[in-house]
Amino acid sequence: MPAILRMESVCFQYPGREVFHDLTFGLEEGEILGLIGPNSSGKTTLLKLMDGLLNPKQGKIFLEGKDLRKVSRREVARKIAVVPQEMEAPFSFTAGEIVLMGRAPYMGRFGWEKQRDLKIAREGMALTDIAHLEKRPFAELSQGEKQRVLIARALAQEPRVMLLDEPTSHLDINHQVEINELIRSLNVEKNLTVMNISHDLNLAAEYSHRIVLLSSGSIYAMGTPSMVITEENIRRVYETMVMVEKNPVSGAPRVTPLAKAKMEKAGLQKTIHIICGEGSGADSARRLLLRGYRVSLGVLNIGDSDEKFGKALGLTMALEEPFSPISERAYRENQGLIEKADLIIVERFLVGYGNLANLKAAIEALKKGKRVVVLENDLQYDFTKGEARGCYQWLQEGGAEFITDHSLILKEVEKVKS
Amino acid sequence: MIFLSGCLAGVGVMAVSLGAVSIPLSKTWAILFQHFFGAGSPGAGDVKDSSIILDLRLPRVIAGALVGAALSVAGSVLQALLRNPLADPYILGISSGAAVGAVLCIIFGLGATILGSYAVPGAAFTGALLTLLFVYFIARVEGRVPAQTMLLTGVIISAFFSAIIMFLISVTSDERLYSVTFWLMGNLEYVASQALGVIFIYLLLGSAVLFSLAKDLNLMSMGEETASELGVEVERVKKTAFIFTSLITGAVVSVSGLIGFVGLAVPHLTRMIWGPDHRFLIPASALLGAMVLILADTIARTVMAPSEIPVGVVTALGGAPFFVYLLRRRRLAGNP
Repeated sequence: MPAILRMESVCFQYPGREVFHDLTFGLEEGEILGLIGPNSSGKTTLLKLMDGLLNPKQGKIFLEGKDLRKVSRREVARKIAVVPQEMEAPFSFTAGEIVLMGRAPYMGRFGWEKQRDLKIAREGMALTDIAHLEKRPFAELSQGEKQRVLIARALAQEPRVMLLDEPTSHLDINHQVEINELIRSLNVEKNLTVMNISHDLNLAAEYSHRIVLLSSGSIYAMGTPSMVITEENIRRVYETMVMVEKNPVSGAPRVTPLAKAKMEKAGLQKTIHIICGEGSGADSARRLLLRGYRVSLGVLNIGDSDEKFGKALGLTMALEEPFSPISERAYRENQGLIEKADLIIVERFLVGYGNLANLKAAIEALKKGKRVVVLENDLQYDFTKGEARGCYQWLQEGGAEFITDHSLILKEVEKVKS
Repeated sequence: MIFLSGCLAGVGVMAVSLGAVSIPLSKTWAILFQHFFGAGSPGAGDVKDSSIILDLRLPRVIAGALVGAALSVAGSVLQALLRNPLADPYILGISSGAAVGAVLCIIFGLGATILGSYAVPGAAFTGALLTLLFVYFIARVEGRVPAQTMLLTGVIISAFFSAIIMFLISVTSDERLYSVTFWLMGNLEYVASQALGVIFIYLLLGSAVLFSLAKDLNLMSMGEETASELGVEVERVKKTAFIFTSLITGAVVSVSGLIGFVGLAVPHLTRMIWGPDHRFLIPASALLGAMVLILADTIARTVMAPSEIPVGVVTALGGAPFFVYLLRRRRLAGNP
């Protein structure tokens, strides 16, 4: 597909700060492009360059093959509509009047809006669900309503390209989805080309055909959502730990931020080993990590949600193959971790023959004089014909600390002398 | 708009009939009709009344209308251009430039030279034009004139010229001091009827150009970036508007002195009644401004008749409380 808007070796700087150095990239006709990147990576500047609000110091930008600097503003406004992050109106223009301003590039110097202009503006307002706000002063609207007015104004421009700067950042989840669906349907029905700056990686992944990841003024990655939004890329560019999975419904990558592990700051010098599974351990582990404790996990099957969590945070774990019972090797590995720990926590998880060995390891630890904290487990579903119950009895009689609630864990940990 | 024009005519006629010598409205109509349409026949002994109306009051009322209209148009445009509801025609320093010109002229007694009654307006207009160029070139950066820079330049130049005026006043002899003060306070007493034609042409031309920018000004009031996104050639509009508001302001200030508050308050009043669309705001505030200043000047002429107070005093006395009211009201409505 031909690029409708193309930047060729563009350099741009604000006084004293270079933003882009030799940037080349094109917005292809009919695509929805998501532009992501951390704060001050140059997303808004890129948008302003593409609309011709800023001029590159070097290089050129082409709109449908024509040098953007040689195209009149009026012509640009008929082709490209911008939805800004926000806009203030100092005088009491009504929402309807603001939307009608989108018709300005089609009107003569002395003209008033014609019937056709009114019709197009009303269509835009209906599509963005703001028809009822027509007579209200723009300044009195909520942020979300204002944003929808600005989108309606952009629609009134009947553009071929729409550049949006975080259009849904002030919207509730209902309108976020609605606006994104609207953009998608305009893209399909009117072949509208869209570039959408977003801080919401999940929405960007969900609705974009292609994603550009910007990192301090250069393109770090470009391609399909699942190519660009990876744990590695996000960690490098945003300096944040995330977990990326496939959204089970849409197949798009889904990003979950993880609390930053501060293990390097382990001021408290205690190591806690958590025996867990099926996500039962992540909560305690996160809390302990945030307090600066070292945490290890085990034994976990590969693919278990606790395992994914531990892997994302780089925790030490004793692992077993997917869906396999705990082997001798894994059991010993786990014991090794228990050996190094100051405290063992037994989380509340379902017990079957496959992971019964985890409870046995806890008993073993107790015998060796380790402190063991057990979350009470009513074993509503005991898949071991009473063996698990037996283990819990053992633990209780052997002197393990039984607690009812996760919130008590930190207290237990503080009791331990390292 | 037709309604407003009608109001303006009515106010004008009423103002002409009022004054130190009261002339009944019916007679005023008759005299005006006779003069302009040659119809009707005023009775004997009306030569004096006729002279008062046609030679003294009518030019003054027309001057009031022109000055009020020009200041209000300039105020509306600058408020949009600078996105500042407190902008007025004097904010860019044009008026203080005119004032320096006028004060210099009065102090050095140039009025007694061959220039005669044109001396002060001429000097004031020259001062205004020089200031326009001055502000423009100071504020210009790489071919652009950023609104904020322009605003600051104007404010600073005003302060600088005020200091010069203070200095000039402090070294001026008493009998000239009166003229200087009277000019600075603003009044329509000395507007030469010959100058009216020139001002009218300026106003007509300037307003027509500014009116042609009305749609762009709507967009500009949303911010320059927004305007540019919607197809406005921002720099061109800004420069044109700057030059033409300065020209009409300079033209009227040079004959009337500094009449305050009209250019600030009338645009707000107009917006409150008819909304902020400049395609309507510019002509409407011209008509409303004309009316307001005619009224203010009528008050200035009549409250202490036969002596007069400067019309600038009346507009400030009335305008300041009105503006406070506006500010309070806007704050209560939740608008900054």
